[in-house]
Amino acid sequence: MTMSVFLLYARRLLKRPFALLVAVVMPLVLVQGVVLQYENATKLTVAVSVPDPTFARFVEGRLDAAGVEHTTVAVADRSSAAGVLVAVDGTPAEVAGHPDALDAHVDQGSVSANGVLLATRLDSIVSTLAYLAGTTHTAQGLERALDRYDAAPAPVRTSTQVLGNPQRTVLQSSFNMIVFVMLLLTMSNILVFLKDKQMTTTQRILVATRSTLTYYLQLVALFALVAVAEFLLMVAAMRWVFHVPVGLSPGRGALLVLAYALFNVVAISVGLLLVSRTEKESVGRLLVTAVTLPAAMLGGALWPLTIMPTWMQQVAQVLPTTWVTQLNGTLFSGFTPPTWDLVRPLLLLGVLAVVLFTALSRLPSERV
Amino acid sequence: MTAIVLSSMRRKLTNRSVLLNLVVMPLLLIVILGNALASTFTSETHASTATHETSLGVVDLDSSAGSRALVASLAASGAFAVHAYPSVDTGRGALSAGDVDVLATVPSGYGSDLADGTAPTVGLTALDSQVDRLAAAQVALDTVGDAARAQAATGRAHPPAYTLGDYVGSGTPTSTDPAAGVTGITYYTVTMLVLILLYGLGNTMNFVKEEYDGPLGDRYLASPTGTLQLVAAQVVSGTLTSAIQGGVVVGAAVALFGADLGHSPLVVAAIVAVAAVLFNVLGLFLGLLGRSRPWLDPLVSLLIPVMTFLGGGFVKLDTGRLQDLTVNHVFQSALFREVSGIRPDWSPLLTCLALSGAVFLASAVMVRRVGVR
Repeated sequence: MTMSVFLLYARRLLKRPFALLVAVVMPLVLVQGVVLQYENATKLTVAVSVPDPTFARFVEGRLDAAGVEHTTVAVADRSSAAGVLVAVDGTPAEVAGHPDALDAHVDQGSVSANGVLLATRLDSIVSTLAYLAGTTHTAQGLERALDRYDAAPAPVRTSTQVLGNPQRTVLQSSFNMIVFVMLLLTMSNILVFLKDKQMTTTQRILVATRSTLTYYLQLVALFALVAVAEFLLMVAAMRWVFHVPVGLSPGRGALLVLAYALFNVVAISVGLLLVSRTEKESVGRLLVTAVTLPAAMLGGALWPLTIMPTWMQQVAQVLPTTWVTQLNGTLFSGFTPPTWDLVRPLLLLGVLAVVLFTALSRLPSERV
Repeated sequence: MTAIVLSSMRRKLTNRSVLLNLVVMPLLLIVILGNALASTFTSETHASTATHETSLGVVDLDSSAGSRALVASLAASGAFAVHAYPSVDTGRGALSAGDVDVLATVPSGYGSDLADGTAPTVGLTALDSQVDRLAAAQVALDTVGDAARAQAATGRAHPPAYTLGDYVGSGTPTSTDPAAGVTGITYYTVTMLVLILLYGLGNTMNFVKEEYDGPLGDRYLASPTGTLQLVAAQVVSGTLTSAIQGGVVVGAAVALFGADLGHSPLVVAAIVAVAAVLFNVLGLFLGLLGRSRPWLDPLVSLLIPVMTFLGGGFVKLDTGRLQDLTVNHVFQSALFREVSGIRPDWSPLLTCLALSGAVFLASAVMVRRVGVR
């Protein structure tokens, strides 16, 4: 009797293979997008379209030395290459002594700061080709100059140092995206309740429960459990299927799971409050969309909060999505965070959950 | 048929929640996107949410002619906005405060080492939130040695001066990635436009379910209006509704944030019309189907944002084959081609129209069955 609502809905979920399939398949499909976000953030890749083997060897050798991945693109496929592209036409025989005969260009693709930096390097590589072409008169002379360039040691070296966790950026953006995915999955589950409300199933269940609060506690507990299972499934897929080094200590991992569980409790509670406002599916969908998308957009789930204007960042501070994305930043940072930075989002989520439950428990039974 | 269209439109436009959906939702999305990403929506920046210049702090511990030349070459590269700091501590302070993306430390003795032929090492430091920028900055910094190396490779005692060319072109759109090079606001205007049109599918689905669940549906079916006309009227009213929403999105994005949707409004209108027809016909079909299959509604509600996500609608992602499976991709790609001046590829749109026709006929058959029941 005490867990009757929990068990009833759990049974309904397990009895519907389609719902179960969606609960398992959707996180797995969506985690691919998350992993792509991870891979896009870590890879420096250039498309190389240089038909002449001498020039191709030179360009690719420079990219290899810089640790930049490269793909080879045929001349005919240049128009279909995406990302940063370097294209060089001409042969040593044609350009030796005639650097203007070197037909080269660098396309930045979709411009980003990294694309600009890569393009700067490629511009210099092509400029070097043109310079050496201008200082030689024969194909053999140009080839020898290129060999001498390759053999010469770099006059300046660089070393890099990362302060904190080198994986932070990619893991933070990946887990921020998971916040969005979880919000989508959770809010979609909410629409199931509209049907129950229309069919008066909810009213009949309510009669059998001790109170509205008990009903909501059991319902939210079940869907939070499903959401945590989906979250763990996504993290497991990231770790063992896509080999993303999540690298969290057990303590921080537990904190993350707790935060996502609380976030889902809040999301489900907000959804149930929205559902209580209407009996129409069309209005329910509108309300859910009107809450989900802005919460994800403003809460840092889709892009970093820091790129938004200050007033929007201030507005975002009241959103639970922001609390979780900020916790992601803290947990994946390589620095030791102040305890308050870890406790604050959990505390806020907990308090909000209590407020929402209070609001839910006071709903008149006909609106539940 | 006109009477049914007018009646549907009147009922939609006088319903407060539907009206909110028509105007407020598209406006809300565009205003949030426009304001949130305003810093990345200058005329020169593009769909990436990152700015295109790397802020580089430089600590010159050598202060020689060689080190000053290095700093000058970095500033002249166009890839870096260079800020000088007197010490490593102040530089790291700026790094921690987020004033610079990457900190370059030119070591003491840089100039003399360079002159001696002993390669000095420039240290690059970044916070863990800028690790990708650090890697790219290191690649870009490799250019500083190119001039000396190329001059040495000539084998001449007095080689000619080395100059950098200007081979870089920004964001050339291609048939595979027609979105390359479009501005951020244009990118999101297109993806949000397609999302709003796609939500038209869900709205029509619910509208049809509600229409045919109640006595209104019985009255429709009892009227002398043919089923084809009945179905066509629903599609026309849904398409008109979607067109109004599309107009709100495009109008707000162009007027408030300077989005550029190309030079041919007719082509954009044609693409929007095909999308609106397809989504409304599908909405009609699924609405009729959904009367006996309640699981369809939550599924459609989930699939709309999921397809937008996988289609790169919320964050610009290339999800490869998954992207090709999304219906968003068809219309986003067509719109991006138009925006980028690439010749339109009408075949996917014609396929969508043919599909709309087939689904339309299937819906007419289903409505007739509803009538029989």
